[in-house]
Amino acid sequence: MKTIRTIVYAVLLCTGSSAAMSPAQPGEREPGQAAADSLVDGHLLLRQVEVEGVKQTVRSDAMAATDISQAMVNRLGITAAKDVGTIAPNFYMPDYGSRMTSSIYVRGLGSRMDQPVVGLQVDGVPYLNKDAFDFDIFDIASIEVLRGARATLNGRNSMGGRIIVNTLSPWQTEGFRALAEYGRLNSIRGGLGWYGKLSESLATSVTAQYSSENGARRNVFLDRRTGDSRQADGRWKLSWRPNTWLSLTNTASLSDSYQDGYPYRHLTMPDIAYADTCSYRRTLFSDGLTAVFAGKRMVVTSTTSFQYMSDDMRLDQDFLPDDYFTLRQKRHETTFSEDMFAKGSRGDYDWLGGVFVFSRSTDMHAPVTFKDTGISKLIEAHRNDVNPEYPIEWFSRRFTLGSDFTMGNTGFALYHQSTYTLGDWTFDAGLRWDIERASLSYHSYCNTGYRTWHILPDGQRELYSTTPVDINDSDRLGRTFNELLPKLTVTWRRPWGSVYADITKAYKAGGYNTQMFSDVLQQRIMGIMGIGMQYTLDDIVGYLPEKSWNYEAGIKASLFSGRLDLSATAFVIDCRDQQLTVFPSGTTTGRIMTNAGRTLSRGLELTAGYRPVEQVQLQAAWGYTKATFRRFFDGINDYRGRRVPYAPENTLFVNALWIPDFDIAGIRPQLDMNLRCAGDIYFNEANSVRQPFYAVLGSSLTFNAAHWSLRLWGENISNTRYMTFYFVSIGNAFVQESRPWSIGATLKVRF
Amino acid sequence: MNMKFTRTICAIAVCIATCLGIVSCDSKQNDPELKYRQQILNAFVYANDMAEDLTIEYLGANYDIIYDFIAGTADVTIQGLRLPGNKQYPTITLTAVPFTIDDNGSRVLEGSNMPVAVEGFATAPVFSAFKLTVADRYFTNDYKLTPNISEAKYYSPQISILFTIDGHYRVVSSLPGQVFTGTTVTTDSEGKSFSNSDPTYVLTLDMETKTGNLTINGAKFIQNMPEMTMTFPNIPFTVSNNGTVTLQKADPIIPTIGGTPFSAFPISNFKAVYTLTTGMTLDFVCTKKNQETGLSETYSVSADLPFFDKN
Repeated sequence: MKTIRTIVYAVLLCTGSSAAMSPAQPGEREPGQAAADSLVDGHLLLRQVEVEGVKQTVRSDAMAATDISQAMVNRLGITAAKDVGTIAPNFYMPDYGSRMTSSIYVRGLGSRMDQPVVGLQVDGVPYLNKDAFDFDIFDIASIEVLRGARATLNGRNSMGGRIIVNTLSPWQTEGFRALAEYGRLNSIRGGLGWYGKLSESLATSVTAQYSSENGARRNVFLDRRTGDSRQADGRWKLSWRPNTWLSLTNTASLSDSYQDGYPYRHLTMPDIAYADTCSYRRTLFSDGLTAVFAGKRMVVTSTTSFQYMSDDMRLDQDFLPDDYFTLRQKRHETTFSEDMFAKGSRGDYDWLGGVFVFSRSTDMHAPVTFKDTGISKLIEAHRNDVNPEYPIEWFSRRFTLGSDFTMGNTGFALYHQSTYTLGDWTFDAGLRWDIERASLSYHSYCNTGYRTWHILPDGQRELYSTTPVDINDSDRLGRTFNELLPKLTVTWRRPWGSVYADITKAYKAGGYNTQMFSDVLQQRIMGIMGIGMQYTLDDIVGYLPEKSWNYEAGIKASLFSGRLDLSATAFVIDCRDQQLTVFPSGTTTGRIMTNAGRTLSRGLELTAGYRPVEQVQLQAAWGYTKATFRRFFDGINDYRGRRVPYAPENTLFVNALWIPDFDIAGIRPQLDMNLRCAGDIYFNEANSVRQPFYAVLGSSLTFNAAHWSLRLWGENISNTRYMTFYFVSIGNAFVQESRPWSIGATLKVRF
Repeated sequence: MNMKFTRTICAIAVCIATCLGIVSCDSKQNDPELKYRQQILNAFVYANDMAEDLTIEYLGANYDIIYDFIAGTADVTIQGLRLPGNKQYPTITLTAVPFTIDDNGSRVLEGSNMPVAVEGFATAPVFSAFKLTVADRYFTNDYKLTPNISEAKYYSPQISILFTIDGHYRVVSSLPGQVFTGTTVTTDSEGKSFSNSDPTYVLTLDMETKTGNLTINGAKFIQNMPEMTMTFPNIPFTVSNNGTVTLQKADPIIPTIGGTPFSAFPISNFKAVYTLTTGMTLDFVCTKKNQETGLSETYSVSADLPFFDKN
């Protein structure tokens, strides 16, 4: 029992420790929310401890982390994981494309497609597919952004860190909570939740919300808005604690979203204008069961999760008024994961060991339809320019390149971490072994053809030949990846804080890029005509894991009786076989993955939290990263020394909060001003297109009463305009601009 | 074009029997035997009467070889051999021709004045010199033989059959098609060169028209040129007594790409020398019209395509 208490105290100490970003403030704890660290008769019982995600939330001082409390979530209007971009230094999650485009960049690492560099878990449930990262959550209790490699404990795709989202617990929240919000662009959000105990050992919560918004831009060609979106979601959490040594919590969530996405504008045009529908629809179901068993000498935690995702993306791939080609991608994906680990301690020695398995299966149907302009300009013209004496003419002005895929990923991992404390010093050593198998079965098909004419000297033409284009290719590819991921950390604790140094190896999983298949098929057609590159499928479609060695040192200090919290982190990341998304040379769309060679990221992160007086809280977080290619030759250009694209050089977050110590008729106001900044951002390997450093101003005025709060808010009230995204496709440059200014009001009621 | 090329490769493959297998096992326990059979079907024959200076060239000879690896000899049965002056030997068998394996791994059958069995003739021809060389060569799709069939493998052996009959008939025989790989070097008018080892060259010989077609898969003569499947059609060739096939055409050759003539890329001064035992070298000039300037740019192309790695 004593051992259990010791462990639980340790858990609480780590989860409850204040970070620079969120010191406790009067008025920030909401009614109905019990304190997590309450004691009964001087002893802490397991029932009263939130033990979800113990592995991740047991943070040592040797960790660059940003804690975002519920109060901060509320006053900044954070509804999804992507909203924490730039709040955490060197952490950038731009909002472009659609909800499927969840690109995260941390310390110069990141990608726009396929594997993420940051892991996401919500209520202990890991989300393995970054296409499912962007969804609204009704009742966020806290968000932790752990920066730096987390591979030893979390394995694949944790090169840049981990985002841990926790929703309100029915053990600590009781009653009903309702939300109603309205803002510019006809932005509507409504939600309702109930939290409470069904018995001494059983608690549950049920929430539901709906949101919709008009798009900020207009497609002048279709004469309609682009960017309209709506989402409905629900969550049911059930927690059972029959005794002091067992806890079971199941969280199930279901969301359905639809979005007119992809507001890409041609750089030379004043408005967005493309001919075909672009949309994204997604249904996501997730269920996670977390079981915690607190034995005499160890705590064993098991998290079992299941996810099902069904989505449907329609894309005008050329984003032009001309009808080149369109893509429709329909997908069904199921994911299962099991993470079981045990923690224990003996004297100054603490240990953790676990096993992780996962399996993901994806069925995808992704035909590309070539239309008249695409056929004439990309195929016929390309071919006829080199042989005008024998021009070709396609059978029809429309044909389809069909692609069906079945993808599988299966992985297994063993991991261990040992911690030894010697006085003021703590030494951590960890090792993880990850093995993963990625497979791809494809079926590519096309049934079309063309005629070849012979232009006679008198200008007349005669039929020279007829060539059918019948493609029916199928095959199965597979790759196995095997990684050993070590970690070493040293921490020196002082009364004012701590100093740490860390070396960790991490990796981002390899796999297969299905978007390249349309390009491969196009090349097949050109090959039938005798022109064009011939790809070795596995070489172009497959990509290798990206590996990094991360070196980090930091210092954390709490001064002046906790009024000033400072942290500074310096890091160097040596990344090899870095995965980069590029558009292949020539007239084609779809992005491809390539292992770029080698990159080096080095940077600095500074955070500060200061309370000059009780009523005022100041926060700042600055991140700087210089990420450059050490080796990247794409066959034509050498980009050595150039900046890695899409990751910002700087992020800056400044926040000022004023909560007066008075109230009016029981209503206490709260004023928040915040500045979110990022840049410079380069949009290509040549660094020829750049978004300079920009700053976005936000503010909110909240009126807090006992059972309700009204928040009046403004986002981007500086109306800062900047490029969110830039790319070149079939020789055309496109840009997505930032969201315009917005204002609104949010009413929350608790009863 | 790919289908046509595939058929060509298949035709080459058909010429070589797939039966490289044990043909007999010894029934006597104390006398082991190890014999393999190889058939070379539908080979071309160049037969020259050196005394009368008469020559015939035709397609259709078959060679049935049984190797005795224990004895180090082979029996070679030749079917369909014709010589100038309307001489025809439906079936000739050379027995116990000594054979060795050379440094290249080739099977070399060589002998002189060997016993000959022939049916229907009172007097058997005398093979005063006989040399048959066979080297197994396999290609995977890495050589771009059939794009997009990832697991395809092709067998295109080096075959050289040279013999002299009765002191004055010289016979050269081999497959009517062959696959070559090696290094292609392109030099522009300013002396800058571009080297490429990716292309695969496929040669087919038509014994009736005495012309050959040379198809280059993955042809890329300059850096910014997309790879092409390019065929140089109807190139006249001659065969020499020492076992070389020379393809040469001074007039421009209009290549076909994807089965369609491309008059914008005429090939001139073409010469290829195919030595049946060692490989092929070729030279030609390629002219390309610059779309922007309208001026023509010329490139000298040379390719060294040996059967065996010189290292």
